[in-house]
Amino acid sequence: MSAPILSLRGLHAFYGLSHVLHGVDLDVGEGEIVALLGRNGVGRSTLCKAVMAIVERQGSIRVRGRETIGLEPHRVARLGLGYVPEERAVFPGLTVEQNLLLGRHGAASARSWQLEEVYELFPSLRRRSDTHAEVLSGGEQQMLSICRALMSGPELMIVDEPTEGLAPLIVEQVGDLLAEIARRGVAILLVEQKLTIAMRIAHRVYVMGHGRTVFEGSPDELRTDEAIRKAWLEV
Amino acid sequence: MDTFAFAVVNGLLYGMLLFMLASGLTLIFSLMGVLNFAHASFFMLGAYFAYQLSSIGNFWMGLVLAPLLVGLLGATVERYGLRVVHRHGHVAELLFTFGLAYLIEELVRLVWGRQPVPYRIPEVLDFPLFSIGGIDYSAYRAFMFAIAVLMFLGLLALLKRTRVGLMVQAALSHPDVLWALGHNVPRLFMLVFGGGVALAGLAGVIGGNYLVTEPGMAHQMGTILFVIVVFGGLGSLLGAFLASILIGILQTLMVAFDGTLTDLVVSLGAAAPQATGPFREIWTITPANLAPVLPYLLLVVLLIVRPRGLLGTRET
Repeated sequence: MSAPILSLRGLHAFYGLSHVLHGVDLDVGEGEIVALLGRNGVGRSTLCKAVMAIVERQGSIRVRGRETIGLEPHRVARLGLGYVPEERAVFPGLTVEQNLLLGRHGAASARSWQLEEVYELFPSLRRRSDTHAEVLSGGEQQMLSICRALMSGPELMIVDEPTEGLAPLIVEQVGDLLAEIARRGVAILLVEQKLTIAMRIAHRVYVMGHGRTVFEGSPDELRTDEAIRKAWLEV
Repeated sequence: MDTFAFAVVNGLLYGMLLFMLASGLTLIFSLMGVLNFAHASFFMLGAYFAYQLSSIGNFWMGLVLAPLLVGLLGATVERYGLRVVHRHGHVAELLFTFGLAYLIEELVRLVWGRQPVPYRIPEVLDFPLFSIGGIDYSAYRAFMFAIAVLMFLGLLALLKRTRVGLMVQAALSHPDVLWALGHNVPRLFMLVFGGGVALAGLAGVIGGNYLVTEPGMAHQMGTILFVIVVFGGLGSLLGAFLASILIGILQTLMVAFDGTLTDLVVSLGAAAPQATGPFREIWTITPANLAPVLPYLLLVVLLIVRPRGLLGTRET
């Protein structure tokens, strides 16, 4: 593994009054898809929010070696992070195209994507470019949310529960889209509850329990490690 | 009939003036969750600044500079006041703007005194534009009307056509996500707060000489303003617009009409009732007496029937 794009050390995070993360260590390397798995309530989404600086956090979060603990969310994003929040969070009242345009922030570099490129990657968004985002289906909203984050040309995407509530066929499509994005050199931190697409596309897997990482290894290692799966994943 | 038409036109103008304040207030509320109790104080500052500037230079200087100054002041208040207080929750924010309203009122009294200041309509606009049935309609009123319409169209274009407008609309639903997508949301909040109170300031500039510029004007305007945003539905621009116009026209109409219940009974051919007993006052109340109460009556009834307000999306 080359020098990590994202490196968490001893990360603590707080959601309101509750202390959710208790010292997480995690790395994401260049162009790598890393899956973060765990049951509901173990702090997966909080970890994403901590990386994006929208919850209170302590410890160390380095992006390309640069400490981001003291930075505001927009500063963190401008270091090259794309955020795909839980429950998609597309902007209602705005069209698909307007949602995409808001993915490109003021400091977007030469790496930033053009509308055309995004539409080529996911053509059904082009057909619906003038549609209000809130009337799209769940799957389309998810694609929009992913493509919106892509617009700034991130080096790393934080993707929080992209398959939640989607039909199996759409889950497959989301997996394909993420794999395609990774093929173009974008690293992905994929946070999931279910194993389906994570086991298929991830290069490395972390399992979380009680606000800490309890397993790190390849998808194959997780497949064979029945004890970990029983203790931390299976319901 | 002429009185009626005149009252409607004047009410419409008053409603537009109300909307210049209500639009900023409701925008700030829906974006930042702050009910800005000091909003009408910025309206008052607009009027006083314009008075001061017009006494040094002329009215037009005040028209341009006063809203800018008010906006700048508002942005500063947001950046170094509200943003700090925000960490302690909405109650703290509410108390902050409440205190700010009193602070501004007292400062105005200190600087400009307790009596009204002679802020006058510019001479170039001080002539009758047309008259209906012997009542003159001044050019200044038409000018106020034009400014209000221009402001409304400008605001609409800003929200719907510009990138900042897109950001505002996005921040209405998911401010954290917008922030994490790399947009400077705190700065956006500062701009919206500054812009919102600048609109109130502009209303003060064109309304201060039409009404009276005195230290009580903020309080007077403030109460009616809250009736409007709650009535229209907190967070709804269109609701605020409808409520502004409705209350503006209703109030003006009621002031315009004379007559009491006694007159009504007499005009129906009956004998004038004996005004005695505990309810004798009822027979001599004029609509103008009721005008100040009416908005609150509407508010109370509406909150019982429809707690969201006319077009609001959340319970107030």
